[in-house]
Amino acid sequence: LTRPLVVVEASGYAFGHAVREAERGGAHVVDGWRNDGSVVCAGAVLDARDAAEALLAAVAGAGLVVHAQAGRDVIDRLVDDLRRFGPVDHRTSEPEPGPALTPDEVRLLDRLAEGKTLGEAAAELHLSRRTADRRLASARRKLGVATTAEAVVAYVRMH
Amino acid sequence: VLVGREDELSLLAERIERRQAIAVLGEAGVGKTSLVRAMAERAGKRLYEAGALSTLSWLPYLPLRRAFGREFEVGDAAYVASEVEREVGAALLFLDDLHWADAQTRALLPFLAGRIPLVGAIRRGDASTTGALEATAGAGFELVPLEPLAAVEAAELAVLLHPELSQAATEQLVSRSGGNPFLLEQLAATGEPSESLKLAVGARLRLLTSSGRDAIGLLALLGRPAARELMGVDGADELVAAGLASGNGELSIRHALIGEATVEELEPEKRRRLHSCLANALTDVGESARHHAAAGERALAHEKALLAAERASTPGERTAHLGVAAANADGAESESLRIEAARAFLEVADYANALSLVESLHSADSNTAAEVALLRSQAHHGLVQNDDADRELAAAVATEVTDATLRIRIAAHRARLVSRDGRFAEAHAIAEEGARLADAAETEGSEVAEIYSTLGYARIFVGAPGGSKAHEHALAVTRRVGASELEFGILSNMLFGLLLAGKPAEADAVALEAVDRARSLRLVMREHTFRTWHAGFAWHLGDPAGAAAEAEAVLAEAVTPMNREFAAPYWWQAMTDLGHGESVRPYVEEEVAKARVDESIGDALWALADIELAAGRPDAAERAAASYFDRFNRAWPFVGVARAWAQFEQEILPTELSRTVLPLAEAAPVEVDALIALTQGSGELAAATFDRAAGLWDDRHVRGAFRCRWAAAESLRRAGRLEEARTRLLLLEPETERRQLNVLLRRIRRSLRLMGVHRTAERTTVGLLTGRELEVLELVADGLTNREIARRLALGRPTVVRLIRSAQQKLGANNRTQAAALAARR
Repeated sequence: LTRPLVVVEASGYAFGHAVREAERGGAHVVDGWRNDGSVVCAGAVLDARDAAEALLAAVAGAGLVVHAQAGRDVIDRLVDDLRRFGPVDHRTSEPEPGPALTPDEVRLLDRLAEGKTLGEAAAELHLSRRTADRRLASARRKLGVATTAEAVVAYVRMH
Repeated sequence: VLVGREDELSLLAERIERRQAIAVLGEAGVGKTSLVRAMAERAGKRLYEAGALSTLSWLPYLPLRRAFGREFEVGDAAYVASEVEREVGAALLFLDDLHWADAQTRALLPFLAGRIPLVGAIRRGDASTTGALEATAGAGFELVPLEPLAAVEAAELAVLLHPELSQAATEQLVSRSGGNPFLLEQLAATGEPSESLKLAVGARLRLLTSSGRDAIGLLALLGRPAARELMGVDGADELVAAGLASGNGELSIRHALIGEATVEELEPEKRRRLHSCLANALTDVGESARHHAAAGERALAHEKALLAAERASTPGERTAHLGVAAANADGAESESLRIEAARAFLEVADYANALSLVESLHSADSNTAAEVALLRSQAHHGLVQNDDADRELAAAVATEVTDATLRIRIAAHRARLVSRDGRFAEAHAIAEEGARLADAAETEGSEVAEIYSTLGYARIFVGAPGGSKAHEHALAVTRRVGASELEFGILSNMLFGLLLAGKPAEADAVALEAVDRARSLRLVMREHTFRTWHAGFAWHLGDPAGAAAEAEAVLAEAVTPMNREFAAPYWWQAMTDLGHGESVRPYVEEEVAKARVDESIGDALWALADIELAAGRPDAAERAAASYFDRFNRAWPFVGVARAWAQFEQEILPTELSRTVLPLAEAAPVEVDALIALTQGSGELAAATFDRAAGLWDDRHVRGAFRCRWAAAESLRRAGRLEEARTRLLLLEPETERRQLNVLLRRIRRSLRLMGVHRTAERTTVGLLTGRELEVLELVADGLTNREIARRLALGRPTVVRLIRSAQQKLGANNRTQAAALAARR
């Protein structure tokens, strides 16, 4: 598995989104630049000095999620350098808003993805079968699919 | 992936063997690092990568720290060098991005060169390149320049990375990337250059001095190779040194992508200045006129463009110059010049330019006003803006017109628009009336050809006699008046007539000839039109692979929406026949969702019905066909056939199809009759009727003939005449396979299986699962029921259940949903 090397040239929201994505991928994300190969460092690069610190973390083996706010030349060089460590995910646009599943829907889909039947999942979550049905229907609608299998696959692919 | 670097590899290996230090010099992304890694791997040497970084070029010994994971802070250069020598031993030290190495590391070069196996890499065009070249030369490095890949090698790389791309797409990729592997990979991954790639390219441009920037701006705006003097020798030299331009005599931009980025980044004021500069320097009057126009120097542009139009050798060139002249004309002359140029643009199918010339024209003279409205309507029609086309036509019709020629032209265009909406009887009446007008007026111009051409296919469509005679008359007139551009429009109508008359092979020969002629006249849009016809005829003639490839190539290259909308349906249909219906489904559904009321939604609904049939969803296929019949009061018989099959597969009695006057589709109602017989359980009658339908389709629509031949055999099987059915299917199978009519092939094999003749699918395994199991799980993930999966893959339902169960067992899944989820996670 390669470490994430993400450079975000967009809003703070886009940066936060990238950080959460790295966390969901199982990374240990820390705030700021640390020379530690076991973590993913997240932070803003405002000038050449920040860029140097971020890059030193990358030299030490850390993954990076960079909120690029420094001048064009600094960012050009940083991205150029980072390509030496692996493919760089360079984002210049806002993230697509994914379907907002409620925590309840997520819990249900998690269980279905584990292979439980809807009845088993409902029992485990202390829900009536009818409520479980309704949650599943709502998740299907948000994911824009017709069947439970499609919903579970779409959910698995999102995460 | 390393492609096409054999010479460099063996050179490097040989030098390293002799302990000769090497510096590889090349532009960003050309593949220096990959080359050195490949060389080390081939030589079986361990590689210590001591890469410098631009951001950290001030940090002492950073490259060494990266290579050996330790600090080098004590002692002088000689001491550190001896430390490094001890670390490296017989391995290879690679000083990557040496131009960014700190001063201390650079100071080691004279001590290391010749003592250890040593390679450096230096980027062209960086501010620190010169310093690095001096340092390596001083230390005794041999310089090895690394150039971008040649076109053949770049194409090889593109195919390796993306085997699914069409040849046309691959060629485009190669030319835009200019053989730079990094640009090629990035471009291939995203199709269009991403923001990030544009920034990376922009970063190279920002490193240039102002004379270098002017030089590349001039070269980019010029859009072709040019002599160094044109852009200033200093600037030109800088571009060459940076690897942005190349060439011995004339210079050209090395990567089209960089040219695009350059043009995009130019400020408007600077752009005008550079255009003006070019206009004054160029000797070709036409080219000079274009740059004057872009610089806003209207009078000069007008004057030079008129001169260029006079000297032009092809209709396309003449039209282009005329357009520039008209667009930059002022005063009284402007109106007639604009009309003349717009007509010329329409004749070469350049609708957008035609429209822009007449869009803002208002004339007090009623004949002129009607002509302008007609031209606008024709241009909108070409751009598939149907409401606008109708509105302008209504304006032209409502105007009092005294000029007979103009009245004939209006009638011809009106007949065309009316037949677009499927009102063929009305179109026929208008065209007959227009032709009478032409005969009475005894005019001899191209308008006669226009009206007769329209009349030709109106007659064929309503089954009136004299269709091909009208076409021939039209063609003869165009040839007499020497309107070679108009000839293409007429040929297009004639091809449509030949298709409807059920003569695709004959039509294909005409189409291919037209492709050659269009190409020789450099009329690209016409060429695309006739290549699409060719794709269409290939499809009708039972060559879906050829049809799909040609249509896809046209889609990739086409620049006008009309060319694309014409090519897309053939691509959809051919892909569906090849068994790739699902990969075109999104495009088809998008087209259906646009819900436009014209031909294109008809084509999309027809394609969708066929895709659904191939996917084993007859109910959805019937819905698509029904939606077609709701929209169009006439019945394109092919959709009627799709509807009948959809009904048959749901065990509903198929809707009868009325007889048609079109020879092409003569078989359609017969095929539907056969389906009705089969639904009613009369296998023998159905077989005989399918045979008759197959005979009628035959070489008019080969795919239909094959389908009916299979259906006849299947009817015999159902009637219990197994031996006969088997013999027929075994004869049909290899030919169907050869033609890659894959959807039909699956049906044939299912019929054979039901009679005990087994054809096993190729056994492949992906991880634990067989290819078949994976295929089934993918369909589960797409939301299909077991019944639908069975239909789509032409398997029995029990087989599908068995495949899912065995996949579940292998994956340790409790149910089909989990199995699909687990398979998707891989």
